[in-house]
Amino acid sequence: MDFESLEEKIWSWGISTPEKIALINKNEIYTYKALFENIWATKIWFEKEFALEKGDSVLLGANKNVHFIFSYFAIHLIGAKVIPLDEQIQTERLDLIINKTNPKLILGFKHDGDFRCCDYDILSTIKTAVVPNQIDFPKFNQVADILFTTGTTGNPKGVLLTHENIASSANNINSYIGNDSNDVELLALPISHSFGLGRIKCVLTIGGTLVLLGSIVNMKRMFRAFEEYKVTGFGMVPASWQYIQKMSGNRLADFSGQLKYIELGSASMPMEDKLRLSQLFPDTRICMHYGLTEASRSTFMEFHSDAMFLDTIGKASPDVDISIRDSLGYEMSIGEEGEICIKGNHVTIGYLDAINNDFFFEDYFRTGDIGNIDNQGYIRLSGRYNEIINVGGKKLSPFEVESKIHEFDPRLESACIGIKDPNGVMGEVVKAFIVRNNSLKSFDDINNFLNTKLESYKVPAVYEWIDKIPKTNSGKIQRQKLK
Amino acid sequence: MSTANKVKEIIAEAIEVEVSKINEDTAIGDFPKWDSMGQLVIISSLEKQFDIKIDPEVIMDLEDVGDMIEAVEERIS
Repeated sequence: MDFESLEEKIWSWGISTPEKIALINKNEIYTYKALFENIWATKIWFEKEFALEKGDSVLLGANKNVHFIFSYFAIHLIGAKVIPLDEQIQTERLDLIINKTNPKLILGFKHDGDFRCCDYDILSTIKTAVVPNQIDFPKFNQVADILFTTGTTGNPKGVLLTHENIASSANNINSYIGNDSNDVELLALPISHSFGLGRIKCVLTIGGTLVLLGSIVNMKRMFRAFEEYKVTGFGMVPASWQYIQKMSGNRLADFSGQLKYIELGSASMPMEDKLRLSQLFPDTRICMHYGLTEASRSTFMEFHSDAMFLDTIGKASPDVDISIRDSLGYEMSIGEEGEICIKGNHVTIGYLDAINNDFFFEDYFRTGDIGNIDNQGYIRLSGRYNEIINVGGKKLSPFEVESKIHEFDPRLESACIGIKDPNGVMGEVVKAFIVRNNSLKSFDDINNFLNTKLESYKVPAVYEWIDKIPKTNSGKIQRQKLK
Repeated sequence: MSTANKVKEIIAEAIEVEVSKINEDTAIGDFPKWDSMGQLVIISSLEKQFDIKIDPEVIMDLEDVGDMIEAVEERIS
């Protein structure tokens, strides 16, 4: 098999276009040569200072700084695994992941005097190192990353991605979007998730220029960056578009002439937003993906060329095969509804500490999403088996909120669902149904309690009394019956 | 309470920090919770609590606490 790791591709750009700018972060600018030298120096330093070696795991706080990027690729060069995590992660969840993965190094987190913790600042002191002529690059079947997702039971699940998975995924995306080394991408997405992290890999392996921006929160700064660096593309989640509209109207369209592509994903987007974007960016490739951490960007749809199919999630990405299966794993006919199953080199090899049988039909990964495929290959998503709630691009399990309500008062029975945000901003918000109970007079106390126990986006925006929670005979909550 | 202090209180509450940590130079993104969701919560709280409407063209210029105080004062006077 002709396999080339992400790291080898970056190294190649360092040789063929050493002076090309790879990375910009505020006043720091790195060429491809400097990028690879820094990755190499970081690798040597990790080996020397922390005795990192093949097979080890490293927790990486997803802070959008250049040292995150150097460290990410350096850890891969060692043959170790990267576990990128949101810096705002709850302590409880962090503890759980530390216990599950037993990392040798924890970068970018403070964790109760844990000797394995180290701050990014210290990496600024690393001296440069000479890059040798011969490098042992990662092999295709080695685990590269473990990405933790919100499991349906509220327990984080570790998705194992090999070097082949992440390299295939970057290739598929670049080939669909049509990226090349002339691209200058503004990265304002969070990098603890598959979407933002994927953008880093896509741009740096195609030889383009990546401009880091903390977030889109400061629109003025974002527009300044668009102008200053002549940005040609960027990625956003549907909630970002609503934020951009609320905060700056149609100002983004001033850049429509220079924007070659916009990648969208991670949640569904209202039809009116899709039409508006198509209208404001007539010459931009607006590519919306559907995917999961387990199978990143498995389908794509482009707003102009697929204008008649905006209600679909598009077609299978290049080198990806999609099959609709029934509950026993038999393939459904065209147009028939079933579970969307995905096969491709980008698909995870499985979960940490879990047996794969439940997640695969042969080589096809079971997404848990329901849909059908038409005779042209367009896929329509009609529902989900799983019940993850997506608040402005941040995902949570209803179980997590319900267990905190139970912690507040064990006599309370509740069920949470995602509802359309009444303010039209977050996409979805959490709604909690609570069984009427004399012990609770109003929702204020529970709301105050949840505010201290959960990240704010997880706190229900709407509460409602209910007489009885609908359940199946086996006792499972029937959330689809709640509105 | 002065408008400035009220604005600072609203911001502090929205991004879950102590009001003493908020001054006029505190800017978007200075605290982890002052992300896009935080900014939306701040703008909608300001609009609600002062019963005002801030247009997108103006919102874009609100880069720090001082800008927000100014925008509110202009609209309530």
